[in-house]
Amino acid sequence: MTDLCSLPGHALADLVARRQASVREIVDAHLGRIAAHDRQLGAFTDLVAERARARAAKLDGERKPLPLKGVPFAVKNLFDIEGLPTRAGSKINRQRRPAARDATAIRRLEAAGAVLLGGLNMGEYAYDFTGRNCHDGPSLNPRDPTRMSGGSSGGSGTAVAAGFVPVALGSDTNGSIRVPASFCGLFGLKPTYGRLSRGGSFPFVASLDHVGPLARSVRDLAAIHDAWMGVDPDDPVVPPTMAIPLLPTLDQSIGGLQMAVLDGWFARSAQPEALAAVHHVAEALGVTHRVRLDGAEAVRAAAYLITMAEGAALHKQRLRTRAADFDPEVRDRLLAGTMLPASWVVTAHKLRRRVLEQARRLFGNLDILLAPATPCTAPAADARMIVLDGVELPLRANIGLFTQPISAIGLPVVAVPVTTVAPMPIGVQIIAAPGREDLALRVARHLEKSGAVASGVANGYGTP
Amino acid sequence: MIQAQAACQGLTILPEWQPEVQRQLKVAFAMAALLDQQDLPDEAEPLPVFTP
Repeated sequence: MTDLCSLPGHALADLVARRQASVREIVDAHLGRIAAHDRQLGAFTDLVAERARARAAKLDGERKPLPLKGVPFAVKNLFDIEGLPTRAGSKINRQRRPAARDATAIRRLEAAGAVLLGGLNMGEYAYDFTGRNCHDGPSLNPRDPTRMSGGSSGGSGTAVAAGFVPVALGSDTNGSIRVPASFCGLFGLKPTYGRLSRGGSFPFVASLDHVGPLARSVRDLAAIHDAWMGVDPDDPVVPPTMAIPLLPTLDQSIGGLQMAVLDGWFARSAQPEALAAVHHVAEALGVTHRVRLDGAEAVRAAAYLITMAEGAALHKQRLRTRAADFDPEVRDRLLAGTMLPASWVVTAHKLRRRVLEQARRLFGNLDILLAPATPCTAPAADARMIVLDGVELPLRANIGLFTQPISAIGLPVVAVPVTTVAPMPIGVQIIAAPGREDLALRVARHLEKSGAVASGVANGYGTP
Repeated sequence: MIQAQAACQGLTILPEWQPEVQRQLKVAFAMAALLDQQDLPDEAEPLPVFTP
């Protein structure tokens, strides 16, 4: 049999449905791979092996068909896992009372037959783009462990690229799904703001927090979305209208879709491989049209300020009483965030609306926009600076140059991995109008089928 | 300004933290300058709507 850990989630579910593998075999194979290699990579902070094996035994004993039956998954450790304190990458939170029940996402995926393997490393309180964590150590890039995974859903990127799980859940406030997807060579879905429930997850910036999956196949992104979607009393921003499932239309033709490359802000301050990746995807789609999103730079600044201010407000009491227990790279930004004038934040929120309206005007004639996901491939794990347009800049603040304007206005994005323009992979954002995840997924699936983008288990570490 | 704000808010900023807090605030001021260039009308609404 093919190595179970190299298969995407939908292929594992097919094996279980056809009785060619048991859930227990699949779970054991993935737990074995984690045991063999995770010490080197730092993906997991909390393994729930006993729970996973019990769940596998229960599923193997049931004849009921389930869409995700036998698909192992793991979650960024800001999602509640029953019986564990939700650490959210911090030292402080691990003294919290253990979660009384699983997050909404975990409950819904397990109801669809998936099996939780554990909680994943992340940047402290999600205020991170690197995957570094001073408490738990860094999550490293399986395609080259001297490089960073990206963050803040760093362990999610590491775990999927390493073949520890076929899918992982992350959160994305400013790019924290799309950045590790780009650096680790994965597909990532940041849905429309409010589309997927954040219920039972530790917040960061309520106005900008999104949640979604990372995977090695587009079909898995759609399957996870479909199991996860739906109104939730634990997340007030999920709209009461029924979301549309994505799997039924995934393989529909993309003929007739109008697409353009984002110019201006999205074509500056990028290293050559980022622009080459966009060119590669545009060429594969036959896209030559270029457009500008007016206000992109300013709305990125708006997201930056809202993040500082809302993050600081969330953590203010902890900053008063336990400032020394924060990761210094996070603490000092939060302390600065306590001092921003309120008028900046109000203006920033007004600007989000204006730029969203600009985007709506573009989507009057277009279905899809293309942009780089990150300005560079994965930097060295300990890198602190980056050179963009010949200027040396702080790395951490600039990895999200191209992701922040898009999440600031809540648009759905699929990050797709380009592997042919540089030795390391790099992502391209496939961006759609609010609520049109279906179009972004269809384009990503078309690119995957054509071979223009590709993911898979990394062989940059140990013995794959 | 940093120490005065910290005192008002019941925060302690150790001397060795201050340079980085100051650097972060300088970045924030640069970001806010970009917002100041935007000509938002009095009627501008703050809350985005994300429906299709």
